[in-house]
Amino acid sequence: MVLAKRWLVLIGLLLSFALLVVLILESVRTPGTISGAQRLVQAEFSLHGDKGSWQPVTLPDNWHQRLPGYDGFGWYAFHVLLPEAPKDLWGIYIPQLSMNAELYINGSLTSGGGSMQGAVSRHWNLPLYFQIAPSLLHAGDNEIKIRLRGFSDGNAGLAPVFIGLDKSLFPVYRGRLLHSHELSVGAFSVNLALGLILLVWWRASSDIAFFWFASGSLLSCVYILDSFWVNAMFSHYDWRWITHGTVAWSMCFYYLFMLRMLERRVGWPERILLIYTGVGAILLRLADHVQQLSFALSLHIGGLAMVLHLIGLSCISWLRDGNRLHLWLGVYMAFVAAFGFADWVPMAFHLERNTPFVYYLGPVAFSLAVSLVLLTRFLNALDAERNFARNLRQSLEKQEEKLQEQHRLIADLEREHAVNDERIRIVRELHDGLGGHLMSALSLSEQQQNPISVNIHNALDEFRIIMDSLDAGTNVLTMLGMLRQRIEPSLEEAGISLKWNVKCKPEGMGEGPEASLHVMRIVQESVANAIRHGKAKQIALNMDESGFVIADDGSGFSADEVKRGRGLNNMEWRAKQLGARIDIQSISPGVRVKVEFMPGES
Amino acid sequence: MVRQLKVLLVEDDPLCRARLVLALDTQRELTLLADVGSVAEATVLIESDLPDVMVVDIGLPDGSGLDLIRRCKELVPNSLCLVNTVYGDEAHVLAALASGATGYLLKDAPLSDLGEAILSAVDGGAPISPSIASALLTHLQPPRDQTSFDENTHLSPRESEVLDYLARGFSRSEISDTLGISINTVSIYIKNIYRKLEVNSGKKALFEARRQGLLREGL
Repeated sequence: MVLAKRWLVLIGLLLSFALLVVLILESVRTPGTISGAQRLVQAEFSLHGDKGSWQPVTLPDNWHQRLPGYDGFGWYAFHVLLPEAPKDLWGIYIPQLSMNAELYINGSLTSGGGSMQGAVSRHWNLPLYFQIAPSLLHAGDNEIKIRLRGFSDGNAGLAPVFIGLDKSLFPVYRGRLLHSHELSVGAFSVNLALGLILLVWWRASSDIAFFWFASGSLLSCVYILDSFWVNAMFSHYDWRWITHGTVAWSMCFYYLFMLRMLERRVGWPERILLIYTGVGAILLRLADHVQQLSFALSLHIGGLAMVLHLIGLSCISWLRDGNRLHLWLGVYMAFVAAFGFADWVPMAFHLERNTPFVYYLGPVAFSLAVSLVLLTRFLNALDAERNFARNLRQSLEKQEEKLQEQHRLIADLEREHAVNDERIRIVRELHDGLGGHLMSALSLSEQQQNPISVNIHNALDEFRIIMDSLDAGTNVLTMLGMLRQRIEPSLEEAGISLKWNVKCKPEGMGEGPEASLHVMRIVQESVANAIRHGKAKQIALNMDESGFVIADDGSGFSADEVKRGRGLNNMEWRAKQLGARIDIQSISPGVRVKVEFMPGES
Repeated sequence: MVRQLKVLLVEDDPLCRARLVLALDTQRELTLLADVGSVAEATVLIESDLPDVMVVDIGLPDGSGLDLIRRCKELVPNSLCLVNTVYGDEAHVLAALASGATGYLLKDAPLSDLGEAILSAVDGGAPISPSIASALLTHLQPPRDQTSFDENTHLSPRESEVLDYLARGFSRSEISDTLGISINTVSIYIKNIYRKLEVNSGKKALFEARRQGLLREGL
């Protein structure tokens, strides 16, 4: 299902791009007729002008068929019959020619496309347009001659030319020039800029793929330059070697780049390609002038094959893994192939062509696509970087908080330590001083059978409870345990049994000795009340997650007593300090003191 | 024949000492070996008479009762040493237990209880307070890393359980009911725990530090 969808996407995209290529080519096609102008198709041709013999020819005329291997000048003569002398400015428009031309009207040189000797001005891709002053033309037969400079490369020749009113022809020429010249310059600039940027990118990222891409882009600038650089400083054949060589090398570098982008195993295809391109470039240099272009076109078959291979790999990657990036690159590679092929076919088979060259559009489209991909990646990386920085900052803040928390903890510990030291000092003083005196008093009173010994016992018990509560390390459960141990002998003596069910510390009860002391005091007070007022025989303490309950089976007390009792008020105050709810009920039999903790309210 | 245990009392306060002597009188099995008020006197007696039971106050005028406990255990390994304390807190008693004491006596306990407490300690019912149980739970906690577990110094799961109940104030009989074991077994657990503390204290500087910090000035 997914695969079928991907196939659909792929086919749809490729068809759209094919349509786009056809539309672009159609838009630059030379028109068959131009209103207000004549299309000159029939001409006479002479290699040496009036010194040679004139032979009729039909345009377009390609020297490859008629004059194979010829390198030099050729003359075309046209006869234009005018009913009367024109009043307005006229012009002659030569949409396609190779390589340069001069215009003679009624025997005199009117204008030309630049140098005709040495480094001949290169009009192989650019149209020529000459304005004709009305005075040069007269009523009746006018002789128009075009002197053409061609090379033995299979491309020399002249397409049908247009003559007519300047105002009709000039806009057509301008339109053609826009495609052939301005677009070429634009493509050149864009590719140069992207190539340089990618070169910097490569230095920054150290990813060799970007070096190959930058090299491909920069080399493609050379052959794009050829499409509009009329007055190249090189001889025709040297320059041709350079431009066709760079076509091959740029394809080669694009291939190396793409293999890496597609994450394909790189190895033998690269080596074969490098050898192919290197050997091809050398052979192209060595080839004779007549064969040079044909050889270059053969060399480009390899380039086309590479591009097709890349398109195939991209499509496979898309179909297999759904990699959109690869699909995107593959489709733009198809541009390179389509435009290159559109130019290659008519050249290789010497077909009549009435469109300008468009091959330079491919690399620009491809470069833009790659740049877009890289820009997206860069923005994503930037985003990731920003996220990373934010996370880092957050984690730093967290660490700082933790550190401060630790500092606080250390400060607390130090304080606790100081408190503990103080506690130890107090305990020692109490133990040695007060404890000793109480003990002596107890012994003495017992010896004398003085009833005060009971009070001294009680004082000692209370003394121990205070000591227990001073122990910061003791938790509430242990403190209660200690309380039990302190009071149980007295309870047993009074015949009261204690039911002990201390499960765990209540949730929501605060930490520290203060909270524990409050709990202990409530328990102590409840037990004391049960003994003093209720005459209880059994007391039960239950403590669990929710709180604790002290219940006895004594006689209880009336509601008024509850209100009046100072001990009960104290218990309520302590419960409030604990953040707990206390409920003191006289049930039958006995009293139930229930303390409930509300988690989160302590 | 009724067994006879020679008891040495070491207490510097004459009134308390007299009280202890009276307490011994309540139990026929306990014979007073001597009642003295200083480390020097007690040391001589330990070495010459090898007491079965020693009740000792930690803070003595000429030294620490802890040294006496160690000396006594050294000479009479089977002897029973009990610390006589007003307070019975973890800080005092734990150090004594670590030195080899079997338990403690509260100075103001009723006379009859004092005598019974000595006898029950002899029979294996070494007393243990919740705060001491809580402290033992912390000190003898087995390490998280199972490989460094030492059964001679670390608590077994069952011992931890017993100590946890003791720390919450449960009595031996309540624990035996809850865990479904005899009171005697509970006592054996406690004894083992004390033994572990003694072994452990040899390894740990903790108790020494505690002794120096808490019990200096002859407490």
